[in-house]
Amino acid sequence: MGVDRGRRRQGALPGLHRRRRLPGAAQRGVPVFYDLQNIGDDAHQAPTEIVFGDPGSGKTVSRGLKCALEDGYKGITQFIWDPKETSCP
Amino acid sequence: MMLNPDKVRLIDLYDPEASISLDAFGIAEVDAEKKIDERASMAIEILEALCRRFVSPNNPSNTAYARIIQRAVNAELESQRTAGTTPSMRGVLVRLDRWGTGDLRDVVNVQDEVRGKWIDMAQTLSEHLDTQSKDTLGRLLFAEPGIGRSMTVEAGSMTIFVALNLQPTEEGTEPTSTSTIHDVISGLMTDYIRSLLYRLPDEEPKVLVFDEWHVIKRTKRAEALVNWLRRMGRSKRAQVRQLSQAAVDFDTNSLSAVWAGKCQTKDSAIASCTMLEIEPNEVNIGTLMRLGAGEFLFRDQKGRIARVFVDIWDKWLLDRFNTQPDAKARLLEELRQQQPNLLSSAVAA
Repeated sequence: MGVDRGRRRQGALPGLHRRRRLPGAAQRGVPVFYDLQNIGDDAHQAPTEIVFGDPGSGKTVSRGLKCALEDGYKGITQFIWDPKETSCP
Repeated sequence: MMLNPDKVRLIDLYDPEASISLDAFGIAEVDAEKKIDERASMAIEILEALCRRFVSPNNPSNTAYARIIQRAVNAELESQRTAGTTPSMRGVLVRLDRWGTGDLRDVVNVQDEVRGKWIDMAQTLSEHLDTQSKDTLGRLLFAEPGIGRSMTVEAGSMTIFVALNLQPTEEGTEPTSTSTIHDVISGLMTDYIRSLLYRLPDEEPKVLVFDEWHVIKRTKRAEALVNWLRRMGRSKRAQVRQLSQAAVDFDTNSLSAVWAGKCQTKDSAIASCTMLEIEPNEVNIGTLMRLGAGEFLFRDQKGRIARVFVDIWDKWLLDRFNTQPDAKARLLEELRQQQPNLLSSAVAA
């Protein structure tokens, strides 16, 4: 269902679709290396990542700050603008 | 959390023990080698912002008020050269107060015919700024330079700016005394981020994280900064990460990666589909509304989309991201029991 034939022909990984349905049935996960720091978009602009969803759950969005912690371990210079003290217990 | 405390700088505006002086003379960039000295321009900019209603074009005496501010700042810097004093915003305030009482010993070229008016205006500015220097946040702008940790940009450091209840002037509303102070502090932070990009080498990776973006974007300077970062950040190896509760909070332009969590409403799910660049059909909307805690639809920079689960294997660490009030209270209590001086020592470090 919803197979992106164009991508499949190009050898794209299964289960990855654009402008198509998402896979409904469980499919085997495929490891994908992801490091935003080393990518550039087509317009050669700054890498921008956004995280949103599940308002009020108290975890889903704040879990996006996990990346900030990991970057802290890596020693990457960071500035965190935190309007509600999520990042500094 | 196993981070090097020497590399973590906490700026908590509402915690006097975890805050820093935002004195313009103390945080402005000074580099004798490169012949850069931004103290005067930064102090004047902040004072004029705080005294906006006096120096605005609508005020017929705006030029005279602006001139008094400039002379007070210049006199403060001059006294460093002649008397060896440390220039500060508090010093400017004291100087204006003295001028307001008619003591103009360090002011030259004030003609006799305007002397009385000049004194009155200095007094008006002094009283206005004195009130603002007593505000919860305004006091930081007039705190002695050097209080708290330095604002100097250091490679490898993590600066956390806790801006609880920062309420800048809403667009289309009249600025109040408090919102003006908040505008100034927001401006200082955006300037700090810009300086972070320019002071550090281009090859040094940098990350700017904006949590609760729906709140921060009300600060127009911050929103302008992020737009600027999207254009300029690439060459500075700067990455922008924005977090918020709903897709509608974001500008859809220039996004490299998107993490879409569970949606509670159909409208929110449709907005998420737009952000993910997938069809807003029933299946996709249903998928977004049925995601579990920690589950996301992830779109990478190549437009590939997958349903992923983000987990933190360490429960202790996961609990640190729980922002429920009772969970935070438990955590603080646990930290106090483990190391009674932990919080204060982290600040003093």
